[in-house]
Amino acid sequence: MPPIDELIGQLDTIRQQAEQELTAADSAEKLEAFRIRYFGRASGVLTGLMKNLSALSPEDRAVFGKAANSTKQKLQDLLDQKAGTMGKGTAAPHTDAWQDITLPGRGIARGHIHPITRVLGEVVSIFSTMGFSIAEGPEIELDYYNFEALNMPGDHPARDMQDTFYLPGGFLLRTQTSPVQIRTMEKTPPPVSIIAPGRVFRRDWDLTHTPMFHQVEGLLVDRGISMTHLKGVLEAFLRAFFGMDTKIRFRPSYFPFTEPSTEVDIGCIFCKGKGCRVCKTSGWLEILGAGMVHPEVLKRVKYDTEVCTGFAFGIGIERLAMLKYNIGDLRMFFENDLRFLRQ
Amino acid sequence: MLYSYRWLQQFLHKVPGIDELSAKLTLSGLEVESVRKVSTDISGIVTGVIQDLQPHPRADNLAVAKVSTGDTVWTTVTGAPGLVQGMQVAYAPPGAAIAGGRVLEEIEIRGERSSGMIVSEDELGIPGQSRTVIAFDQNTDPGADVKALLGLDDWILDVAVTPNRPDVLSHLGLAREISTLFRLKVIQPVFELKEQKYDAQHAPLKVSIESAADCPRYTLRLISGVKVAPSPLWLRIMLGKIEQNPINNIVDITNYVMFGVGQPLHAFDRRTLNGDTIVIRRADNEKFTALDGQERMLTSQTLVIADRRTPVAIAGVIGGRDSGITGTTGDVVLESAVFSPPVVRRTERGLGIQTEAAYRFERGVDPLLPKMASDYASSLISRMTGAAVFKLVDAWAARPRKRTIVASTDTLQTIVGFPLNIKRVQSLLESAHCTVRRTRPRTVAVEPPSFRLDILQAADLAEEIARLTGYDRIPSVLPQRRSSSVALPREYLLTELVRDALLSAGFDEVINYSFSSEDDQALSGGEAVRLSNPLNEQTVLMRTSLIPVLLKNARYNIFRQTEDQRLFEIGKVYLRSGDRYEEHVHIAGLLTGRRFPFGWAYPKDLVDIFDVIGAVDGIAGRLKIRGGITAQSGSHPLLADSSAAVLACGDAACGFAGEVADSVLRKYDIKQKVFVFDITAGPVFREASLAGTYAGVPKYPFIARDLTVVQPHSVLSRDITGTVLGLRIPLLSEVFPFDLYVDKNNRSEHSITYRFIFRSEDRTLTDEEVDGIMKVIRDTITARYRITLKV
Repeated sequence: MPPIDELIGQLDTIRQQAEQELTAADSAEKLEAFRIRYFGRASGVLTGLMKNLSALSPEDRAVFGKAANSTKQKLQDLLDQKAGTMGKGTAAPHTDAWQDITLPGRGIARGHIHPITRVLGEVVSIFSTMGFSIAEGPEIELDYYNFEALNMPGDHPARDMQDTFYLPGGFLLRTQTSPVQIRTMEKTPPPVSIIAPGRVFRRDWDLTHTPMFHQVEGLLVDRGISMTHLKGVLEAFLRAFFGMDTKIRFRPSYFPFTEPSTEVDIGCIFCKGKGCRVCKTSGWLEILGAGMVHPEVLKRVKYDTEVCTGFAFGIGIERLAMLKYNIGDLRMFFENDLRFLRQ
Repeated sequence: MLYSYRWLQQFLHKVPGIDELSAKLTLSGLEVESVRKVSTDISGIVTGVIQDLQPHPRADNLAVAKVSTGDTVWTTVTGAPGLVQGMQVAYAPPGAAIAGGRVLEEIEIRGERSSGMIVSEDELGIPGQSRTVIAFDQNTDPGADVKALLGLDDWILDVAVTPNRPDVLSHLGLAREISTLFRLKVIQPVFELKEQKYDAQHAPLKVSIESAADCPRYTLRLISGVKVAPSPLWLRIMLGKIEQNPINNIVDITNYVMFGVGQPLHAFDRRTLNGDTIVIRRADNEKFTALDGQERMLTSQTLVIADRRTPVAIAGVIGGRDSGITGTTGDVVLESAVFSPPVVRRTERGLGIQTEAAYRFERGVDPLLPKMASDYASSLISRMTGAAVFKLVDAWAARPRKRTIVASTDTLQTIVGFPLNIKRVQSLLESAHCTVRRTRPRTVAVEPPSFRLDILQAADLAEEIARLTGYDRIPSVLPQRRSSSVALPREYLLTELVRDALLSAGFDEVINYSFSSEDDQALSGGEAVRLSNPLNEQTVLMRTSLIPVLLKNARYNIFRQTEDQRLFEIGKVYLRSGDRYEEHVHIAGLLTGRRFPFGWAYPKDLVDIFDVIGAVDGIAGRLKIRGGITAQSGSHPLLADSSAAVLACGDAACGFAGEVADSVLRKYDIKQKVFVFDITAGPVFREASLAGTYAGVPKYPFIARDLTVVQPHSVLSRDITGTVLGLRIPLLSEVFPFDLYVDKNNRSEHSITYRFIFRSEDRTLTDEEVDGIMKVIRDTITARYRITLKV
């Protein structure tokens, strides 16, 4: 067994000789021969030298290992460098390096977000920049929160507008996200500014209705909130969502839990207001319902109607998604056809 | 409701043009859903005088007529009945079109030339009398446009009347609204009425109202000596245009008055009423056969109109079969009343009958309307049939209280948000038929008209003001927020992280209905929430698991040639526990088919259990769950025994993962291996962490050591790594299996190579140190498990 100093000396010799050979090498073949002579797995010079390692004492092993590795690295760098310069200008590529770069590349396939989630996310982020937080409520809801507290007692004709799934024990599947308004105000004193996204259910299933769909409810109650603010916030939202040049129209309407109430239309994005099949030639698309929170609703959650007023709105997410992504058939959202989702 | 433009003209001196009218109505809250012309299929039909009428030489039941339409005399072959010479008829010359759009040509009928035709009612699209030919007034000029003469050149507006505005559910009602919007004057219906006193032959009926809350006002009157017959042409045309079928003159007039002024009326045949007292009372488990022929059992929920013996009508909803008008009715009792909206609504719901009358009563009828409506209808019946009208029996059980709303302009201004002066407030509300007094400099006392049942408080006044001003004239302002710090809830943020983890792992998101069928439920287990009124068999229950819907998604897509799938849904499952309902968010995923995209650059392996475990690990990693979500072999009814794992997080069970059992796949017609996971968000989110810090990068290099362990199948990789980590070696920063070797011929053992990463934060480690630690590790695991180490 040669002592450590001798081994280190051998290393030096090998390095010098190798450097000379490398300088002389003037073809790819010679370079490859060089690589095999020094780095070859079976009988490479450097590989052979490393075999001595196990016989050394631990201290020597560390010293020699370090030196050997550094030599190896240095030679490797030189070899790479040489190979690099030689590659330039040589006409025929090495056969091993043949590649057809017209083959499709390799990638990591990311999954696809559902269009409903995508729109919900967009809506949430627009409203959160306007200072709205998120509130949630149960989907299996008490009649009280879904109707009664929203100024729709048992025999109110407005209940007709929402066909309801009922459950035993005075429960139902919420027909709107509006009950979250009541639940939030019961827990929180004003000011309140929330949006409540979620699933809602209506007993209706045909070409243009699914028994489940998504809404985002919004509520802002504070001192001195008026219809001007309702308009301001909803216009800001619609322009952020559909584009700055979106035409917006507020129309009086009726909801039992708001007074005054409004329906909001946007100029038809398909025909630019000229009148087409989608907007039924009116040039307008109904997009959401809103209004000033009815004093009866505020009184029920013990808010002082002398001090605070507020507005609320409800947006149908499927409708937004259909308009934004030009989706013609509502049922596509729940068929989960991958040919649809993977677009 | 459908409105005829010409009918509206009865109640207004001047009606704005159709486009202007519908635009303004829509922008004031009465959305005009459609405007269409009636009788667009008819054109070119004019009046003509029959100058000559001869039998057809070769056909017994045909005639040859010469018809003059002023400047032209036409010869036509006709089969119409009741023609006489000199009669003024509707004539369709060649080129004209009749109902259905048929265009007339010159033809030959049995050898006689025939240019155009004499047109009957049905050929003009008028409901009821079919083959009859209209005889126009002799003073009519020949060649006059028949559509205009008959009022068939009309627009029909379909207006969506919101539930708060029952006062608009008539032509007079809409005319009132138009008068407000355009500042026009309303013309009340004009009629003459001669009333007779009751006498020995015509005894007055008495009214007895049991509850003023159920029925605040009930009027009736006797109309004696009617002749029931088909309605005259004008009435049939009017009703036809708003898509009401004519029945007979008496019933048609009650409908005409309802659609005209908004009061539902009902006519009884006097002969069928027993006794002389009409009682308005709750039913008492009585059988009743309504006009629709169905027999129903009426309970105390239902308000009825009864004679001495039995109910004769369901109040406000539908009349009785046996008390209605028939061809032989001579004396009519005409009812005009107001019933409680909730009572009518409950009845309507309970019995499943929807009528135009109930539609109005459940929304509310002007308490001052019954008398005028009864007078109006009586005068029409009298004029049409010569009947005698007797005095109105008017029973008030409760008179409406005077409503006065006192509001300051400041209050109103707070709601609408733009400056208001009192003069403008007064003028707008007066245009809406309110009586307005100024009580203080900036306060008004407003008395809404009796028909505006929806105006009850200041907010309602504000709506009128905003609506009549025009919402487009209200400025837009972004509110100044008192609090601006808004944090999104933790659950929302965690859900976003999970979604992103799964999307990054190549999963496509699906959203399924929250419902479940009995079949799916059988597989899911758990006590499901049952709907009281399902829509169909797909909506009988609420889902207790997301797996059945994911399997359905997989099948759907496999059947559509997409075999390689990674799906996930984040959504709720619903459970019943006792008389409470629970909702839990679940995160569930499904994998099937190839692991990688199908392409030259990728291996063609199929997914296996470790792809599922990896997805779960990915979620745990994104949520920074200390200790991760761990999998233990276990069993689950949906999973194959050999590869089922139960998942845990912290100390809590949090779901399962594994390969779906063949028996389950067969139920879903799936013929390829499918792997699923189902995680309950609750326990996982509890252990999750949103906060995170960045540590500095290590200053010193690590030293890696590998160790190959030949272990019996009973020793799991987590046994080894867990034992090593249990030593709490400060310098050991990581240990993980990096190679697995299973010898097919060895059924009891396999070998795993573990890599150990050692690192110190304050110095470069030496091999000796690491060797020392490795020895401790080797000794510990060989002492604990029956394993051998490969050198």
